Amino acid sequence: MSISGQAILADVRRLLTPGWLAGHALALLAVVTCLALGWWQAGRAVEGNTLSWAYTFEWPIFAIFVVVIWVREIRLTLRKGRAEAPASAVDPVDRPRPVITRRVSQPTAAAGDSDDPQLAEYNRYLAWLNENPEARPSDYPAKEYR
Amino acid sequence: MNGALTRYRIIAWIVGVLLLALTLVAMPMKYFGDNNLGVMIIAPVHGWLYVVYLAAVGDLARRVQWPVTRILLVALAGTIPFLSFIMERRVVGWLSGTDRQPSFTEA
Repeated sequence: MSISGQAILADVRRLLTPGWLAGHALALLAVVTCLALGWWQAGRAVEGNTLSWAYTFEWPIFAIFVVVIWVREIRLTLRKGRAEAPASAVDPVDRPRPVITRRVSQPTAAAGDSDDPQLAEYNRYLAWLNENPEARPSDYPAKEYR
Repeated sequence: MNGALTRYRIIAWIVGVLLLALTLVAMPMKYFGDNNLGVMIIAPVHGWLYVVYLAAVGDLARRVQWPVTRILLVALAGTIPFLSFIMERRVVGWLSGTDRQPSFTEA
């Protein structure tokens, strides 16, 4: 099997743990329930219940909220799993051609010579972002930058 | 994070007050007083503002990286009379440990 195939398989396996199976079932149940309630309200609205018109459109929005959280959790799990996976999983032959980049004046933690603790902390944050190009700003471990 | 927290707190109070108006005033009016007007006005307004509440919770959760259970707990708290006020205090408590200074990552 190709390396990318194995990576996909590993991703799928991360989403098929007992906890995740329960999570998928729960999310699916919530989505189906929301849509069913929306359908029920649509029927009542058509029969002349004015109040039901609002709920007809509201329940699908609740379903969307569930889906958004579901997708977010899946992406978090995959990101965490890939970060923990051994680096040897990358086949040098399969690896895409490196992009040539030129690095200019990288901020580092050592650059925090300034007396301003806030500036020093900001420089540490920038250095961390530089060291972790895959990470998003919200992944920064220090609490004050979340 | 400050802005998102403030937005959440404002909408939590609005939804909480509207839910109390709905359950303590409008619903008794409908089922005991046979007057449907209160429910007809407050119910859709509360319903749509609850959607705004969900958006505020989602936005706040995205910034502070809450676990799913906490997101769902806070989201559902908005549907139970009085609980939204208690939850609002708890959310403020959860986030009071973090630095309240403007964040560099805040959009």
